[in-house]
Amino acid sequence: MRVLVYGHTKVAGGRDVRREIESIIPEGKVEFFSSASKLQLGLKHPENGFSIAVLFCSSRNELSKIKSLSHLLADLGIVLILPGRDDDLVTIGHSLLPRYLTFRDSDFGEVAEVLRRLVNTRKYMIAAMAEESAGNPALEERFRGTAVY
Amino acid sequence: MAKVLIIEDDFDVAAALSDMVTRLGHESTSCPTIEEGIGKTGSADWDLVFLDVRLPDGNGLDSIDDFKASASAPEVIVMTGYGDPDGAEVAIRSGAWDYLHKPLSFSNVRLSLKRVLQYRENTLKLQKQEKQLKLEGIVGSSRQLAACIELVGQAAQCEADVLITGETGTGKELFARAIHFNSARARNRLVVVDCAALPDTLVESALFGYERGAFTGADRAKEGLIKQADRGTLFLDEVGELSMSMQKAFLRVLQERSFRPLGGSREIASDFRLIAATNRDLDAMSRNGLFRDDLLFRLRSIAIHLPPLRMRPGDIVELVSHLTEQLFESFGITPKELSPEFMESVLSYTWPGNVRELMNALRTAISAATREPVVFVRHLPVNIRASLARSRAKAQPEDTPVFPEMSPGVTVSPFKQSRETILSEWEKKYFEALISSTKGNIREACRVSGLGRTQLYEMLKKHRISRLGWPD
Repeated sequence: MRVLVYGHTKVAGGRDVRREIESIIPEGKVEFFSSASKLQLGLKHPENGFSIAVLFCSSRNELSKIKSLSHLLADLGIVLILPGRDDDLVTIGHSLLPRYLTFRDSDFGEVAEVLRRLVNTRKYMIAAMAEESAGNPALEERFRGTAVY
Repeated sequence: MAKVLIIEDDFDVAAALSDMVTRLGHESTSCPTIEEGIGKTGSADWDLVFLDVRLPDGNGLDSIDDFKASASAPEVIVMTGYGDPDGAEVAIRSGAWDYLHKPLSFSNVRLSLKRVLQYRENTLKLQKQEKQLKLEGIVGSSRQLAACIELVGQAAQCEADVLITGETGTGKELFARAIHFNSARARNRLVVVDCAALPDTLVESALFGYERGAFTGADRAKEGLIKQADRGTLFLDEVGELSMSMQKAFLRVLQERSFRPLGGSREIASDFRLIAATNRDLDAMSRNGLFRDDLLFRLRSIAIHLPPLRMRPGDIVELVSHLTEQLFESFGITPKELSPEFMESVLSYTWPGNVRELMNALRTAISAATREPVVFVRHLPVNIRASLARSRAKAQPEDTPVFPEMSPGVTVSPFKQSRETILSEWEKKYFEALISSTKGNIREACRVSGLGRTQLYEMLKKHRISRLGWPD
């Protein structure tokens, strides 16, 4: 599982987001990208999935660039931070189907908490899947929730 | 006016039925043999075939698939002898739309004809709609998937709330998207709420929003996701994770289609359509007091249960082809060949993580084979290769006797009992292998085994072998 973070640390809020993320995910376990083109390359690197992307868009232009990468973001769990609350920005934001959407003037502690839960859920899914394919039936139901299908 | 073909060797019965069909305003043609009937269905469009069972050139039940496989795919109504419940059951199991007992009465023929033509009209209408559906990322042609796609079509045509269930990785979000983007709300937002990702402290404010000063830190108002979904669709993913208090609050929103933001003094309306999804058994949760049954009732106006990948193995080849093509394009690499052993392994694995796991495995394999033109089994993730190796080892234990009942030290059973046990086990294995090797194609299974359709169905029924999971 990869955690990819996009955003400039030089703009207001960017450094705060990074600090919050680093407070919950150990150093070296997060890949940071400061430009959309670098993020595009990072997304083209094929690796085992269940990845998460935290996208901090500080401007309308950045959001447009991220939107143009939506085909590469389709399978990722996205946490999206929008540059403003205008209707059209919110509409573009939701078109990326983020698991959580907030704004650059919000409390980034919430972003960290959501990220922590997303990471835990995905870690659990990967572990349960690996154990089930290893033939441990006890985990089968846990992996599939309480469902009996 | 419908076109009806009557296959009946008794001239009087055929003439009487033909007369009834004509009196009901339809066109009818009769012929006395299966061969002649199949010839006719190949050369014209037919809506319905009335088929006798005992015909000069064979059992009518064995030819139902042949009639249905013709270009116009007519419905088949079987005419059975009076008081033959087994014949009626076999007729339905063989794919007939209905059966009628002889002697035929005008009222029964009229009713049956009316129903079948109504059904046919609806089916054709739905098929037309399905062909027009935008189903991005939903791949496969199995019956189970087709049934889900049919429900997507129905859901897209109406405003009812939808509950999508299925194991992790079966594509619940893809189906939610398909419903939204094929509905009248497609131009408006599809708003995702991941109930598993939101901590309890955040769910309420995220859904309902809040006014300035509603709580410490709320230095400005924030619009909630329910309002953001106004005129669009709200997709409540992992709905089984909602706390009881949030279930209560959300039920009210569903009933009223309005809510009050935290710290707000007035109700705000939102015209959203709800799609919820979960991998949990909400009925079991409801019985255990963990999920409100009134909310479950509301959510399940339309229920779509997505089959796990292991239940639709016939779709795997199509999925692999689609996903690899997508990956080659996304990563900008030259398409690679997939070795036969690679495909065999992909088809043998059970995919507990479903389509998502398949996608990830293909991504890993293609990545590992970056410099090679062919993708081999060794490029698959190690946990999958290990699992396959374990399954193969289990399937061929060296020291397992062919007949355990006859192993040294085992108490010998009476001859008849022992023979029955061994024969039954052998039959079960044989028919499982037969259905698997013919990919559930009954006609092919009959050809390979040399059995008639009726005998084959009896064996499948006896050993509880399902051909579900294989495409029609």
